[in-house]
Amino acid sequence: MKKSIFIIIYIIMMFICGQPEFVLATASLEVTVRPNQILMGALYNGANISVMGNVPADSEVLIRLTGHLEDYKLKKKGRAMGVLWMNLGIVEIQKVPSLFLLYPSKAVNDSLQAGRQSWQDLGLGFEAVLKQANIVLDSEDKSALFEEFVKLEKKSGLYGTIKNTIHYKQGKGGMKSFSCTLALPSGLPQGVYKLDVFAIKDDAIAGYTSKEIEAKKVGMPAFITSFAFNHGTLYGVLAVLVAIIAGLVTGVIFKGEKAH
Amino acid sequence: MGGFVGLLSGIFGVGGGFLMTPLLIMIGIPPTVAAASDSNQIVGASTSGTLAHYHLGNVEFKMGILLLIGGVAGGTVGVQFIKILRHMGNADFLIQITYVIMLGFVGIYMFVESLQGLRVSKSIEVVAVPKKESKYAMILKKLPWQTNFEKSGTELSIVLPLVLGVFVGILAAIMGVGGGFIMVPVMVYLLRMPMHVVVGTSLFQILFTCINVTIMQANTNHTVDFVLALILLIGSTLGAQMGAKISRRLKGEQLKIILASLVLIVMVKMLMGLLLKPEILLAFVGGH
Repeated sequence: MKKSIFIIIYIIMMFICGQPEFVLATASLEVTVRPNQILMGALYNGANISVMGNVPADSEVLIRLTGHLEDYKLKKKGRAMGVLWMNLGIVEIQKVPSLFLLYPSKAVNDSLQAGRQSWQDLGLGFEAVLKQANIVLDSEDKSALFEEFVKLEKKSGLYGTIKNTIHYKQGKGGMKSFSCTLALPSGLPQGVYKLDVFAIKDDAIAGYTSKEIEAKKVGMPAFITSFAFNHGTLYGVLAVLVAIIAGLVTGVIFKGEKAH
Repeated sequence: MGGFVGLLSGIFGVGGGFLMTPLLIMIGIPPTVAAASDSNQIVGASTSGTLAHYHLGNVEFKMGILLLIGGVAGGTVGVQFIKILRHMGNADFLIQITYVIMLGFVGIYMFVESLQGLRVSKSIEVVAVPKKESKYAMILKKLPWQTNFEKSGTELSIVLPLVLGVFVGILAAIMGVGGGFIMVPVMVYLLRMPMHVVVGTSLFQILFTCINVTIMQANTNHTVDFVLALILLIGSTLGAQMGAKISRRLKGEQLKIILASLVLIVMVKMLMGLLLKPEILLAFVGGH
Protein backbone atom coordinates (compact mmCIF):
# COMPACT_ATOMS: atom_id res chain seq x y z
CA MET A 1 0.00 0.00 0.00
CA LYS A 2 2.75 2.42 1.10
CA LYS A 3 4.71 1.57 -2.02
CA SER A 4 1.77 2.37 -4.35
CA ILE A 5 1.15 5.75 -2.61
CA PHE A 6 4.83 6.54 -3.04
CA ILE A 7 4.64 5.64 -6.75
CA ILE A 8 1.55 7.86 -7.25
CA ILE A 9 3.23 10.79 -5.46
CA TYR A 10 6.39 10.20 -7.54
CA ILE A 11 4.37 10.21 -10.81
CA ILE A 12 2.54 13.42 -9.82
CA MET A 13 5.86 15.10 -8.91
CA MET A 14 7.42 14.04 -12.22
CA PHE A 15 4.40 15.34 -14.13
CA ILE A 16 4.52 18.72 -12.37
CA CYS A 17 8.28 19.02 -12.80
CA GLY A 18 7.90 18.30 -16.52
CA GLN A 19 5.83 21.46 -17.07
CA PRO A 20 7.86 24.42 -18.27
CA GLU A 21 6.09 26.87 -15.98
CA PHE A 22 7.23 24.89 -12.96
CA VAL A 23 10.81 24.96 -14.18
CA LEU A 24 10.42 28.70 -14.77
CA ALA A 25 9.31 29.22 -11.21
CA THR A 26 12.28 27.44 -9.65
CA ALA A 27 15.41 28.11 -11.76
CA SER A 28 16.74 31.66 -11.80
CA LEU A 29 19.29 33.54 -13.89
CA GLU A 30 21.27 36.70 -13.19
CA VAL A 31 20.19 39.26 -15.77
CA THR A 32 20.54 43.03 -16.06
CA VAL A 33 18.25 45.07 -18.33
CA ARG A 34 19.11 48.67 -19.22
CA PRO A 35 17.03 50.77 -19.46
CA ASN A 36 13.91 49.14 -18.07
CA GLN A 37 11.78 52.14 -18.94
CA ILE A 38 11.38 53.59 -22.44
CA LEU A 39 10.24 57.18 -22.53
CA MET A 40 8.53 57.90 -25.83
CA GLY A 41 8.81 61.62 -26.50
CA ALA A 42 8.02 63.56 -29.66
CA LEU A 43 11.23 62.36 -31.34
CA TYR A 44 10.87 58.67 -30.37
CA ASN A 45 11.87 56.51 -33.30
CA GLY A 46 12.47 53.10 -31.72
CA ALA A 47 14.75 52.25 -28.78
CA ASN A 48 17.59 49.89 -27.90
CA ILE A 49 17.48 47.79 -24.74
CA SER A 50 20.64 46.16 -23.47
CA VAL A 51 20.29 42.74 -21.81
CA MET A 52 23.28 41.16 -20.06
CA GLY A 53 23.68 38.17 -17.79
CA ASN A 54 25.27 34.82 -17.00
CA VAL A 55 24.11 31.34 -17.96
CA PRO A 56 25.62 27.86 -17.51
CA ALA A 57 28.45 27.42 -20.01
CA ASP A 58 26.80 24.43 -21.66
CA SER A 59 23.45 26.17 -22.26
CA GLU A 60 22.10 28.52 -24.96
CA VAL A 61 20.13 31.74 -24.52
CA LEU A 62 16.68 32.70 -25.81
CA ILE A 63 15.18 36.09 -25.00
CA ARG A 64 11.46 36.66 -25.46
CA LEU A 65 9.69 40.00 -25.25
CA THR A 66 5.90 39.90 -25.01
CA GLY A 67 3.15 42.50 -24.68
CA HIS A 68 -0.22 42.34 -22.96
CA LEU A 69 -2.95 40.17 -24.48
CA GLU A 70 -5.21 41.91 -26.99
CA ASP A 71 -8.15 41.15 -29.27
CA TYR A 72 -7.95 42.06 -32.96
CA LYS A 73 -10.63 42.51 -35.62
CA LEU A 74 -9.25 41.88 -39.08
CA LYS A 75 -10.51 41.83 -42.64
CA LYS A 76 -10.08 38.47 -44.31
CA LYS A 77 -9.21 38.54 -48.00
CA GLY A 78 -10.25 35.82 -50.36
CA ARG A 79 -11.23 35.12 -53.95
CA ALA A 80 -14.65 36.21 -55.10
CA MET A 81 -16.16 34.90 -58.35
CA GLY A 82 -12.93 32.99 -58.94
CA VAL A 83 -11.06 36.07 -60.18
CA LEU A 84 -11.12 38.98 -57.75
CA TRP A 85 -9.25 39.20 -54.44
CA MET A 86 -11.20 41.19 -51.90
CA ASN A 87 -12.28 41.42 -48.28
CA LEU A 88 -14.71 38.61 -47.66
CA GLY A 89 -15.46 39.09 -44.00
CA ILE A 90 -14.19 39.89 -40.55
CA VAL A 91 -12.06 37.57 -38.43
CA GLU A 92 -11.56 38.06 -34.71
CA ILE A 93 -8.29 36.92 -33.20
CA GLN A 94 -8.47 37.13 -29.43
CA LYS A 95 -5.99 36.73 -26.58
CA VAL A 96 -2.81 37.31 -28.54
CA PRO A 97 0.12 39.43 -27.33
CA SER A 98 0.41 42.97 -28.67
CA LEU A 99 4.16 42.34 -29.09
CA PHE A 100 5.98 39.04 -29.56
CA LEU A 101 9.68 39.22 -30.33
CA LEU A 102 12.11 36.31 -30.03
CA TYR A 103 15.87 36.80 -29.83
CA PRO A 104 17.44 33.33 -30.08
CA SER A 105 21.15 32.49 -29.99
CA LYS A 106 22.44 30.87 -33.17
CA ALA A 107 22.14 27.33 -31.77
CA VAL A 108 18.59 27.94 -30.51
CA ASN A 109 17.65 29.45 -33.85
CA ASP A 110 19.02 26.41 -35.71
CA SER A 111 16.93 24.18 -33.45
CA LEU A 112 13.91 26.41 -34.12
CA GLN A 113 14.46 26.18 -37.86
CA ALA A 114 14.68 22.39 -37.65
CA GLY A 115 11.15 22.47 -36.18
CA ARG A 116 11.87 19.80 -33.59
CA GLN A 117 8.93 18.60 -31.54
CA SER A 118 10.89 19.11 -28.31
CA TRP A 119 11.12 22.81 -29.10
CA GLN A 120 7.37 23.07 -29.58
CA ASP A 121 6.88 21.19 -26.30
CA LEU A 122 8.72 23.96 -24.47
CA GLY A 123 5.89 26.33 -25.41
CA LEU A 124 8.12 29.35 -25.99
CA GLY A 125 7.56 30.21 -29.64
CA PHE A 126 4.74 31.24 -31.96
CA GLU A 127 3.05 27.82 -31.49
CA ALA A 128 2.44 28.78 -27.87
CA VAL A 129 0.73 32.00 -29.00
CA LEU A 130 -1.50 30.03 -31.38
CA LYS A 131 -2.40 27.58 -28.58
CA GLN A 132 -3.67 30.30 -26.26
CA ALA A 133 -5.30 32.37 -29.03
CA ASN A 134 -9.00 32.29 -29.66
CA ILE A 135 -9.79 32.62 -33.37
CA VAL A 136 -13.42 33.38 -34.09
CA LEU A 137 -14.47 32.23 -37.55
CA ASP A 138 -16.95 29.89 -39.18
CA SER A 139 -14.82 27.36 -40.94
CA GLU A 140 -11.20 27.52 -41.91
CA ASP A 141 -7.77 26.30 -41.00
CA LYS A 142 -7.03 28.26 -37.83
CA SER A 143 -3.26 27.75 -38.00
CA ALA A 144 -3.15 29.03 -41.61
CA LEU A 145 -5.08 32.11 -40.54
CA PHE A 146 -2.78 32.61 -37.56
CA GLU A 147 0.20 32.40 -39.91
CA GLU A 148 -1.31 35.29 -41.90
CA PHE A 149 -1.77 37.22 -38.65
CA VAL A 150 1.89 36.68 -37.74
CA LYS A 151 2.90 37.90 -41.23
CA LEU A 152 0.81 41.04 -40.70
CA GLU A 153 2.34 41.73 -37.28
CA LYS A 154 5.84 40.99 -38.57
CA LYS A 155 5.33 43.68 -41.19
CA SER A 156 4.64 46.19 -38.38
CA GLY A 157 7.76 44.98 -36.53
CA LEU A 158 5.67 43.87 -33.55
CA TYR A 159 6.20 40.12 -34.08
CA GLY A 160 9.32 38.38 -35.25
CA THR A 161 12.44 36.34 -34.66
CA ILE A 162 15.53 38.51 -34.57
CA LYS A 163 18.66 36.48 -35.20
CA ASN A 164 22.34 37.01 -34.40
CA THR A 165 21.83 39.42 -31.52
CA ILE A 166 23.14 37.22 -28.68
CA HIS A 167 26.88 37.35 -28.03
CA TYR A 168 28.78 35.20 -25.54
CA LYS A 169 31.96 35.68 -23.50
CA GLN A 170 33.87 33.13 -21.46
CA GLY A 171 32.94 33.27 -17.75
CA LYS A 172 34.10 31.69 -14.49
CA GLY A 173 32.85 28.71 -12.50
CA GLY A 174 31.20 26.83 -15.35
CA MET A 175 29.28 29.93 -16.48
CA LYS A 176 29.44 32.16 -19.56
CA SER A 177 28.24 35.73 -19.92
CA PHE A 178 25.91 36.90 -22.67
CA SER A 179 24.85 40.26 -24.01
CA CYS A 180 22.11 41.27 -26.41
CA THR A 181 20.75 44.55 -27.79
CA LEU A 182 17.02 44.51 -28.41
CA ALA A 183 15.95 46.99 -31.07
CA LEU A 184 12.37 47.95 -30.30
CA PRO A 185 10.11 49.16 -33.13
CA SER A 186 9.04 52.78 -33.59
CA GLY A 187 5.39 51.66 -33.59
CA LEU A 188 5.67 50.19 -30.07
CA PRO A 189 2.40 50.80 -28.22
CA GLN A 190 2.44 52.19 -24.69
CA GLY A 191 2.40 49.50 -21.98
CA VAL A 192 4.32 47.10 -19.75
CA TYR A 193 6.23 44.36 -21.55
CA LYS A 194 7.52 41.09 -20.15
CA LEU A 195 11.11 40.18 -20.91
CA ASP A 196 11.85 36.46 -20.41
CA VAL A 197 15.36 35.10 -20.53
CA PHE A 198 15.74 31.33 -20.94
CA ALA A 199 18.86 29.19 -20.66
CA ILE A 200 18.25 26.13 -22.82
CA LYS A 201 20.20 22.90 -22.53
CA ASP A 202 19.44 19.64 -24.38
CA ASP A 203 16.09 21.01 -25.62
CA ALA A 204 14.97 21.74 -22.06
CA ILE A 205 14.83 24.88 -19.95
CA ALA A 206 17.80 24.93 -17.62
CA GLY A 207 17.37 28.44 -16.25
CA TYR A 208 14.95 31.31 -16.42
CA THR A 209 14.32 34.83 -15.27
CA SER A 210 11.73 37.50 -16.06
CA LYS A 211 11.92 41.31 -16.05
CA GLU A 212 9.51 44.07 -16.92
CA ILE A 213 10.04 46.91 -19.38
CA GLU A 214 7.69 49.85 -19.41
CA ALA A 215 7.08 51.90 -22.54
CA LYS A 216 5.57 55.22 -21.62
CA LYS A 217 4.61 58.27 -23.65
CA VAL A 218 5.99 61.47 -22.16
CA GLY A 219 5.85 65.19 -22.89
CA MET A 220 3.83 66.32 -25.90
CA PRO A 221 2.83 62.81 -27.14
CA ALA A 222 1.56 61.86 -23.64
CA PHE A 223 -0.47 65.07 -23.38
CA ILE A 224 -1.87 64.64 -26.90
CA THR A 225 -2.85 60.97 -26.30
CA SER A 226 -4.63 61.81 -23.06
CA PHE A 227 -6.33 64.84 -24.63
CA ALA A 228 -7.42 62.87 -27.73
CA PHE A 229 -9.04 60.12 -25.66
CA ASN A 230 -10.65 62.28 -22.99
CA HIS A 231 -11.83 65.24 -25.09
CA GLY A 232 -12.24 63.81 -28.61
CA THR A 233 -14.38 66.55 -30.17
CA LEU A 234 -12.35 69.42 -28.72
CA TYR A 235 -9.17 67.67 -29.85
CA GLY A 236 -10.60 67.36 -33.38
CA VAL A 237 -11.66 71.02 -33.46
CA LEU A 238 -8.21 72.15 -32.25
CA ALA A 239 -6.45 69.89 -34.78
CA VAL A 240 -8.57 71.48 -37.53
CA LEU A 241 -7.87 75.01 -36.25
CA VAL A 242 -4.11 74.43 -36.16
CA ALA A 243 -4.24 73.03 -39.71
CA ILE A 244 -6.25 76.05 -40.94
CA ILE A 245 -3.87 78.49 -39.21
CA ALA A 246 -0.87 76.68 -40.72
CA GLY A 247 -2.51 76.91 -44.17
CA LEU A 248 -3.37 80.59 -43.72
CA VAL A 249 0.09 81.53 -42.43
CA THR A 250 1.74 79.79 -45.39
CA GLY A 251 -0.72 81.54 -47.71
CA VAL A 252 0.07 84.95 -46.22
CA ILE A 253 3.84 84.36 -46.35
CA PHE A 254 3.63 83.42 -50.01
CA LYS A 255 1.41 86.36 -50.79
CA GLY A 256 4.01 88.60 -49.10
CA GLU A 257 6.72 87.11 -51.28
CA LYS A 258 4.66 87.83 -54.36
CA ALA A 259 4.31 91.51 -53.42
CA HIS A 260 8.07 92.10 -53.37
CA MET B 1 5.81 63.18 -48.59
CA GLY B 2 3.71 66.11 -47.36
CA GLY B 3 5.35 68.44 -49.86
CA PHE B 4 4.73 66.09 -52.79
CA VAL B 5 1.07 65.50 -51.95
CA GLY B 6 0.57 69.24 -51.27
CA LEU B 7 2.05 69.99 -54.69
CA LEU B 8 -0.47 67.65 -56.35
CA SER B 9 -3.22 69.24 -54.32
CA GLY B 10 -2.26 72.75 -55.46
CA ILE B 11 -1.86 71.76 -59.10
CA PHE B 12 -4.93 69.57 -59.59
CA GLY B 13 -7.35 70.51 -56.81
CA VAL B 14 -7.43 67.01 -55.34
CA GLY B 15 -7.07 66.26 -51.62
CA GLY B 16 -4.28 63.75 -52.10
CA GLY B 17 -5.78 61.19 -49.71
CA PHE B 18 -5.62 58.55 -52.45
CA LEU B 19 -1.83 58.84 -52.38
CA MET B 20 -0.93 59.90 -48.86
CA THR B 21 -2.91 57.26 -46.96
CA PRO B 22 -1.30 54.27 -48.73
CA LEU B 23 2.14 55.93 -48.39
CA LEU B 24 1.64 56.34 -44.64
CA ILE B 25 0.49 52.71 -44.30
CA MET B 26 3.60 51.66 -46.24
CA ILE B 27 5.89 53.32 -43.65
CA GLY B 28 4.13 51.52 -40.82
CA ILE B 29 1.33 53.87 -39.67
CA PRO B 30 -1.86 51.93 -38.79
CA PRO B 31 -4.49 52.41 -41.56
CA THR B 32 -7.10 54.07 -39.32
CA VAL B 33 -4.56 56.57 -37.99
CA ALA B 34 -3.17 57.15 -41.49
CA ALA B 35 -6.62 57.96 -42.95
CA ALA B 36 -7.69 60.25 -40.08
CA SER B 37 -4.38 62.12 -39.79
CA ASP B 38 -4.30 62.50 -43.56
CA SER B 39 -7.70 64.23 -43.43
CA ASN B 40 -6.29 66.59 -40.81
CA GLN B 41 -3.29 67.54 -42.93
CA ILE B 42 -5.51 67.98 -46.03
CA VAL B 43 -7.34 70.70 -44.06
CA GLY B 44 -4.05 72.64 -43.92
CA ALA B 45 -3.06 71.91 -47.50
CA SER B 46 -6.48 72.86 -48.89
CA THR B 47 -6.59 76.06 -46.79
CA SER B 48 -3.20 77.02 -48.19
CA GLY B 49 -4.19 75.96 -51.72
CA THR B 50 -7.58 77.72 -51.60
CA LEU B 51 -5.90 80.93 -50.44
CA ALA B 52 -3.31 80.72 -53.20
CA HIS B 53 -6.00 80.12 -55.83
CA TYR B 54 -8.15 82.88 -54.33
CA HIS B 55 -5.29 85.34 -54.85
CA LEU B 56 -5.08 84.13 -58.44
CA GLY B 57 -8.84 84.66 -58.88
CA ASN B 58 -9.57 80.95 -59.24
CA VAL B 59 -12.17 80.27 -56.53
CA GLU B 60 -15.87 80.31 -57.41
CA PHE B 61 -17.25 80.54 -53.85
CA LYS B 62 -20.92 80.50 -54.88
CA MET B 63 -20.49 77.24 -56.81
CA GLY B 64 -18.33 75.73 -54.05
CA ILE B 65 -20.99 76.39 -51.42
CA LEU B 66 -23.77 74.90 -53.57
CA LEU B 67 -21.72 71.78 -54.28
CA LEU B 68 -20.87 71.54 -50.61
CA ILE B 69 -24.53 71.65 -49.53
CA GLY B 70 -25.35 68.92 -52.05
CA GLY B 71 -22.24 66.98 -51.01
CA VAL B 72 -23.19 66.96 -47.30
CA ALA B 73 -26.72 65.75 -48.15
CA GLY B 74 -25.34 63.11 -50.53
CA GLY B 75 -22.71 62.04 -48.00
CA THR B 76 -25.41 61.44 -45.39
CA VAL B 77 -27.43 59.34 -47.86
CA GLY B 78 -24.26 57.50 -48.92
CA VAL B 79 -23.32 56.62 -45.33
CA GLN B 80 -26.77 55.08 -44.76
CA PHE B 81 -26.52 53.24 -48.07
CA ILE B 82 -23.12 51.79 -47.13
CA LYS B 83 -24.53 50.69 -43.75
CA ILE B 84 -27.23 48.67 -45.54
CA LEU B 85 -24.63 47.19 -47.90
CA ARG B 86 -22.32 46.27 -45.02
CA HIS B 87 -25.24 44.56 -43.36
CA MET B 88 -25.83 42.59 -46.56
CA GLY B 89 -22.10 41.77 -46.70
CA ASN B 90 -21.42 43.24 -50.16
CA ALA B 91 -19.98 46.62 -49.22
CA ASP B 92 -16.28 46.03 -49.86
CA PHE B 93 -16.94 44.45 -53.24
CA LEU B 94 -19.16 47.34 -54.32
CA ILE B 95 -16.70 49.97 -53.06
CA GLN B 96 -13.77 48.53 -54.98
CA ILE B 97 -15.70 47.88 -58.16
CA THR B 98 -17.17 51.43 -58.02
CA TYR B 99 -13.64 52.77 -57.64
CA VAL B 100 -12.26 50.88 -60.63
CA ILE B 101 -15.22 51.69 -62.90
CA MET B 102 -15.41 55.36 -61.90
CA LEU B 103 -11.68 55.98 -62.09
CA GLY B 104 -11.41 54.04 -65.34
CA PHE B 105 -14.28 55.87 -66.99
CA VAL B 106 -13.27 59.34 -65.79
CA GLY B 107 -9.56 58.78 -66.48
CA ILE B 108 -10.01 57.46 -70.02
CA TYR B 109 -12.57 60.14 -70.93
CA MET B 110 -10.43 62.98 -69.58
CA PHE B 111 -7.29 61.61 -71.19
CA VAL B 112 -8.80 61.16 -74.66
CA GLU B 113 -10.69 64.46 -74.54
CA SER B 114 -7.69 66.54 -73.41
CA LEU B 115 -5.39 64.77 -75.89
CA GLN B 116 -7.79 65.72 -78.71
CA GLY B 117 -7.92 69.26 -77.31
CA LEU B 118 -4.13 69.54 -77.33
CA ARG B 119 -3.89 68.20 -80.92
CA VAL B 120 -6.58 70.56 -82.19
CA SER B 121 -5.02 73.62 -80.58
CA LYS B 122 -1.64 72.72 -82.10
CA SER B 123 -2.60 71.85 -85.67
CA ILE B 124 -5.73 73.71 -86.64
CA GLU B 125 -6.27 77.39 -86.84
CA VAL B 126 -9.50 78.17 -85.15
CA VAL B 127 -12.10 79.48 -87.54
CA ALA B 128 -14.88 81.46 -85.96
CA VAL B 129 -17.82 79.26 -86.85
CA PRO B 130 -20.83 79.49 -84.53
CA LYS B 131 -21.19 76.14 -82.75
CA LYS B 132 -24.49 74.32 -82.69
CA GLU B 133 -25.77 74.12 -79.12
CA SER B 134 -25.78 70.60 -77.67
CA LYS B 135 -28.91 69.01 -76.17
CA TYR B 136 -27.25 69.06 -72.76
CA ALA B 137 -26.66 72.81 -73.02
CA MET B 138 -30.28 73.33 -74.06
CA ILE B 139 -31.56 71.34 -71.06
CA LEU B 140 -29.30 73.37 -68.75
CA LYS B 141 -30.81 76.60 -70.04
CA LYS B 142 -34.33 75.38 -69.33
CA LEU B 143 -33.65 74.67 -65.65
CA PRO B 144 -35.08 77.18 -63.12
CA TRP B 145 -33.17 79.66 -60.89
CA GLN B 146 -30.45 80.58 -63.39
CA THR B 147 -27.54 82.34 -61.66
CA ASN B 148 -24.45 84.03 -62.95
CA PHE B 149 -21.13 82.51 -61.87
CA GLU B 150 -18.65 85.30 -62.54
CA LYS B 151 -15.30 83.53 -62.12
CA SER B 152 -16.41 80.70 -64.39
CA GLY B 153 -18.01 83.04 -66.88
CA THR B 154 -21.15 80.86 -67.04
CA GLU B 155 -24.82 81.14 -66.21
CA LEU B 156 -26.33 78.01 -64.66
CA SER B 157 -29.30 76.90 -62.61
CA ILE B 158 -28.42 76.42 -58.93
CA VAL B 159 -30.32 73.09 -59.14
CA LEU B 160 -27.51 71.51 -61.16
CA PRO B 161 -24.61 71.99 -58.69
CA LEU B 162 -26.93 70.93 -55.85
CA VAL B 163 -27.92 67.69 -57.63
CA LEU B 164 -24.35 66.95 -58.76
CA GLY B 165 -23.14 67.69 -55.21
CA VAL B 166 -25.55 65.03 -53.90
CA PHE B 167 -24.29 62.56 -56.53
CA VAL B 168 -20.63 63.18 -55.69
CA GLY B 169 -21.42 63.06 -51.94
CA ILE B 170 -23.01 59.61 -52.31
CA LEU B 171 -20.07 58.30 -54.35
CA ALA B 172 -17.52 59.85 -51.96
CA ALA B 173 -19.24 58.20 -48.99
CA ILE B 174 -19.33 54.82 -50.75
CA MET B 175 -15.72 55.09 -51.87
CA GLY B 176 -14.51 56.57 -48.57
CA VAL B 177 -12.66 59.51 -50.13
CA GLY B 178 -12.98 63.30 -50.09
CA GLY B 179 -14.39 63.33 -53.59
CA GLY B 180 -11.87 65.63 -55.33
CA PHE B 181 -11.22 63.03 -57.99
CA ILE B 182 -14.87 62.87 -58.95
CA MET B 183 -15.65 66.53 -58.30
CA VAL B 184 -12.98 67.86 -60.69
CA PRO B 185 -14.32 66.03 -63.80
CA VAL B 186 -17.91 66.84 -62.75
CA MET B 187 -17.09 70.56 -62.63
CA VAL B 188 -15.17 70.45 -65.91
CA TYR B 189 -17.60 68.40 -68.00
CA LEU B 190 -21.02 68.82 -66.41
CA LEU B 191 -20.78 72.33 -64.95
CA ARG B 192 -18.61 73.55 -67.85
CA MET B 193 -16.23 75.48 -65.60
CA PRO B 194 -12.72 76.49 -66.75
CA MET B 195 -10.03 74.10 -65.43
CA HIS B 196 -8.18 76.72 -63.36
CA VAL B 197 -11.36 77.78 -61.56
CA VAL B 198 -12.22 74.10 -61.04
CA VAL B 199 -8.94 73.50 -59.18
CA GLY B 200 -9.47 76.42 -56.76
CA THR B 201 -13.16 75.68 -56.20
CA SER B 202 -12.50 71.96 -55.65
CA LEU B 203 -9.91 72.79 -52.98
CA PHE B 204 -12.38 75.12 -51.26
CA GLN B 205 -14.93 72.30 -51.14
CA ILE B 206 -12.39 69.66 -50.00
CA LEU B 207 -11.42 71.94 -47.10
CA PHE B 208 -14.90 71.62 -45.58
CA THR B 209 -15.23 67.89 -46.30
CA CYS B 210 -11.94 67.21 -44.48
CA ILE B 211 -12.82 69.47 -41.53
CA ASN B 212 -15.93 67.32 -41.06
CA VAL B 213 -14.00 64.02 -41.39
CA THR B 214 -11.23 65.11 -38.98
CA ILE B 215 -13.66 66.12 -36.22
CA MET B 216 -15.77 62.98 -36.71
CA GLN B 217 -12.70 60.71 -36.61
CA ALA B 218 -11.29 62.47 -33.53
CA ASN B 219 -14.60 62.17 -31.73
CA THR B 220 -15.56 58.63 -32.72
CA ASN B 221 -12.35 56.67 -33.30
CA HIS B 222 -9.63 58.82 -31.61
CA THR B 223 -7.41 58.11 -34.58
CA VAL B 224 -6.15 61.60 -35.49
CA ASP B 225 -2.40 61.73 -34.81
CA PHE B 226 -1.84 65.43 -34.47
CA VAL B 227 1.97 65.24 -34.39
CA LEU B 228 2.00 63.21 -37.60
CA ALA B 229 -0.50 65.58 -39.25
CA LEU B 230 1.60 68.58 -38.16
CA ILE B 231 4.77 67.14 -39.71
CA LEU B 232 2.90 66.43 -42.97
CA LEU B 233 1.29 69.87 -42.83
CA ILE B 234 4.60 71.72 -42.99
CA GLY B 235 5.38 70.10 -46.33
CA SER B 236 1.85 70.04 -47.73
CA THR B 237 0.97 73.71 -47.09
CA LEU B 238 4.18 74.82 -48.81
CA GLY B 239 3.61 72.27 -51.58
CA ALA B 240 0.06 73.53 -52.17
CA GLN B 241 1.35 77.08 -52.70
CA MET B 242 3.97 75.94 -55.17
CA GLY B 243 1.36 73.73 -56.87
CA ALA B 244 -1.00 76.67 -57.34
CA LYS B 245 1.76 78.61 -59.10
CA ILE B 246 2.67 75.65 -61.32
CA SER B 247 -1.02 75.14 -62.10
CA ARG B 248 -1.28 78.73 -63.35
CA ARG B 249 1.59 78.15 -65.79
CA LEU B 250 0.06 75.01 -67.31
CA LYS B 251 -2.70 75.05 -69.90
CA GLY B 252 -6.12 73.64 -68.95
CA GLU B 253 -5.66 70.72 -71.36
CA GLN B 254 -2.22 69.93 -69.97
CA LEU B 255 -3.60 69.93 -66.42
CA LYS B 256 -6.41 67.61 -67.47
CA ILE B 257 -4.12 65.15 -69.24
CA ILE B 258 -1.74 64.89 -66.26
CA LEU B 259 -4.64 64.45 -63.85
CA ALA B 260 -6.19 61.84 -66.16
CA SER B 261 -2.88 59.92 -66.17
CA LEU B 262 -2.80 60.01 -62.35
CA VAL B 263 -6.38 58.77 -62.18
CA LEU B 264 -5.58 55.93 -64.58
CA ILE B 265 -2.45 54.93 -62.60
CA VAL B 266 -4.55 54.71 -59.41
CA MET B 267 -7.21 52.74 -61.28
CA VAL B 268 -4.65 50.24 -62.65
CA LYS B 269 -3.13 49.87 -59.17
CA MET B 270 -6.56 49.13 -57.70
CA LEU B 271 -7.36 46.70 -60.49
CA MET B 272 -4.05 44.87 -59.90
CA GLY B 273 -4.93 44.73 -56.21
CA LEU B 274 -8.17 43.01 -57.13
CA LEU B 275 -6.61 40.56 -59.58
CA LEU B 276 -3.31 39.60 -57.90
CA LYS B 277 -3.13 37.46 -54.78
CA PRO B 278 -2.23 39.70 -51.83
CA GLU B 279 0.99 39.06 -49.91
CA ILE B 280 -0.97 38.84 -46.64
CA LEU B 281 -4.55 37.57 -46.53
CA LEU B 282 -5.49 39.64 -43.48
CA ALA B 283 -5.72 43.40 -43.01
CA PHE B 284 -6.51 45.66 -40.09
CA VAL B 285 -10.04 47.02 -40.08
CA GLY B 286 -10.16 50.74 -40.98
CA GLY B 287 -8.62 53.20 -43.42
CA HIS B 288 -9.94 54.59 -46.72
